[in-house]
Amino acid sequence: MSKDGDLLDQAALMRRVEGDRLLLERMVRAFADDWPRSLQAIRDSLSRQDALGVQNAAHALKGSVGNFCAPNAYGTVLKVEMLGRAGDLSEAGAASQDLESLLQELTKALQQLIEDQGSGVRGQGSEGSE
Amino acid sequence: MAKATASTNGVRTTVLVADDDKSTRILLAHHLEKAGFQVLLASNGREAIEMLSDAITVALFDLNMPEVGGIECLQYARKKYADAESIIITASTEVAHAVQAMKSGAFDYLTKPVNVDELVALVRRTARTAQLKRENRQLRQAIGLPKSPTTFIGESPAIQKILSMVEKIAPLDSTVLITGESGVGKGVLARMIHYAGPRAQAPFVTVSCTAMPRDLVEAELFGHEKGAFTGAHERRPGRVEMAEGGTLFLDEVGDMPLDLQPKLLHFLQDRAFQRIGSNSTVDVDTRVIAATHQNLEALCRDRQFREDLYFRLNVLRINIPPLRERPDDITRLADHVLARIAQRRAVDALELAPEALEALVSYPWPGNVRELENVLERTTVFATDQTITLEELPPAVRGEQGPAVPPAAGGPSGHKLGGMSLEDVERIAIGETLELCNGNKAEAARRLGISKKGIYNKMKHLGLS
Repeated sequence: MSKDGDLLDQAALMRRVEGDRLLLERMVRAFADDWPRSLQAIRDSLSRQDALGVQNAAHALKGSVGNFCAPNAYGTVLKVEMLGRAGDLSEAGAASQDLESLLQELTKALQQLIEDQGSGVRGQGSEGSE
Repeated sequence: MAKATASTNGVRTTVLVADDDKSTRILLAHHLEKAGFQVLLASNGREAIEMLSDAITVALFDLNMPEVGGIECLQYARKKYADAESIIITASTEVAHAVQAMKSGAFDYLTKPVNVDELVALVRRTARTAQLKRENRQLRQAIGLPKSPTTFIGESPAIQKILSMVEKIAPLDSTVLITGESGVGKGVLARMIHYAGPRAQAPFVTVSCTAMPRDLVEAELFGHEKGAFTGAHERRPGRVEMAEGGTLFLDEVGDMPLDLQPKLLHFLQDRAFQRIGSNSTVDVDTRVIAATHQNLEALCRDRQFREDLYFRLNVLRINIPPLRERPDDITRLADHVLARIAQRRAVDALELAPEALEALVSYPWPGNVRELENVLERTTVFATDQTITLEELPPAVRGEQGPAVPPAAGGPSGHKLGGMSLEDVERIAIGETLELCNGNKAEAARRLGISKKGIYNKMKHLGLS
C-alpha cells in the first residue's frame, strides 16, 4: 500500500460508502466533530494516570477511525488502547501526540476526498477520482 | 429481493441500531435502509432501552457504550421483548466479550470495523429468525397455551368485588364485556375467567382488533378458503374456529372495523360463520369475552359502533377501575411484580425503600398496572442495590414532572374535562404525556396504552407536531 494509502485507503473507503458522496460527507462531518473530544478524553485520562480511562477512550475512538479505512491512524489508536490496557502509560503520551497529527492529516485527506468526489460528479462521474 | 426479506406483510422490518459513535450510526443506517429496513437510531444504551418496543425485530447494540453497555441492553431486550433478536457489535480485539454476548443470548455478533455486506446479510438472517419466533409465539397463543399464570392482584373492595363476580361468571357461557382504561389488566381478567371455567382445557384464543391491519381482521377472525383472494395459497382456519370448545377473546373490540361488525354480530347471534371464499356455514361452540378501553356507548352515538352488536356484547359487564382509584392495591401489586421479575431472572426479589413505595402509591399511574410493571422492570435493571430507592424511580413517579396526585377538580392536567370534545381531551392527554416522556413517542405511546403507529396517527390527526 502506498504512503497515501497508509493514511487513507480512498478506494476501500469509496467502496464502503458505495460511492455515495453525501453519505461520506455526513460521516466525515460527524467524525471531525467527535475525534477532538475523544482525543481530549485520552489526554485527560493520561494526566490522571488513569490507564483504564486511556484504554476506554482510545477504544471508543478506534471504533470511529475504523470506519474510514485509515491504517496509520487505526494502528496508532490501537497502540494507545493497548498501552492503556497494559497499564503502561510511559509511551502513551507520545503515541497520543502522533495520533493527533495523524487525525488532523486524515481529516484533511477526507475533506479533500469529498471535494474531489464533488468535482468528479460534476465532471467525470462519481467513482474513480482520487 | 431486499424488500422481500426486509418486510412482513408489506410492513418494513424495524431495526434498532445503538452505538455511541455517530459516524458508525450513519454508515449502518445507510446500508440497512438501502436494504429495505426501517432503522431507528440510539446514541447510547439508555436511549436504546427507551426506544425498544414490540415493533423492533432486530436490535444491534454496540458492546462498549458508556453507562449502559450493549450486554445490559441485550439482557433487557431479551426479558422485555422476547420476540426480538439482538446482535452485539464489538471491536475485533474483544473475542472474550463476543463469547459473553453469545452466552447472554445474542443471535450473533459483528466485529468493528463493520463489513457492510456482512452486516446486511446478518440482519436479514436475524430478522427471519425473529419473525419465525414471533409467528411461533402467536400460534402458541392462538391455540391457548397460557403465557403466564392468570392471577389478578388486588385487595381493594373494587377488585374483591370483581373477583367474586368472576367466580359467578366463569361457569357460564354468556358473553362478557370487560371495560377499563388501557393497562388495567383486561386481558388478564379474561384469561382468569376462561381458566376458572369448564372450558379451561380448551383453547383461549386472542384476537387483538387493534394490532391487525384492517384488511387482515376478517381473514384472521374467520379464516379463508384456498384462492379466496390474492395470496390465499391454502385454506386457513380463523381464530374463531381455533377457539372451538374454548374462549374467543376479542381485545379492543371498539376498534373493530365498522364494515366487519355485521359479520361479527351474525357470529355472536348464531355461533356460526362462513370462511372468506366459502358459501358453507361452520358452527362453533365458543364463549366470547370482549374488552375495550373505549366508551362503546359514545361510539354507538357517533355511529362508529353498531348498537345491536353493543347489546350482544354487553351481556355480563365488568369494569376494572383505574389504578389511581385503588391506591391500596399498589403495594401488593408492586411486590407481586418484583417477585415475578426476580423469579424470571433467578435472583432474590428487590425491595422498595419506604419513600419509594410512598411515591408509587402517590403517583396517578395513567398507564395503570402495565405502567407500574414497566417502571419496575426498568428500575430493577438499573438498581444498584437490593433496595430500590426513591432516586432510582423515574422523575415523573417521584413527582418531579407534573403533579403526583391528580387535583380533585380535574385530571392530572388540571383541566376540567367535562364538556370538552374528545379530540381536545386526546390532544391534551397526548401533549402532556409527550412532555412527561421528554418527547419520546414510543414511551408516550406505551403510557397512553396505544401503539407507536397509533400515536403518530393521532398526532397527525390532531395537528400536534
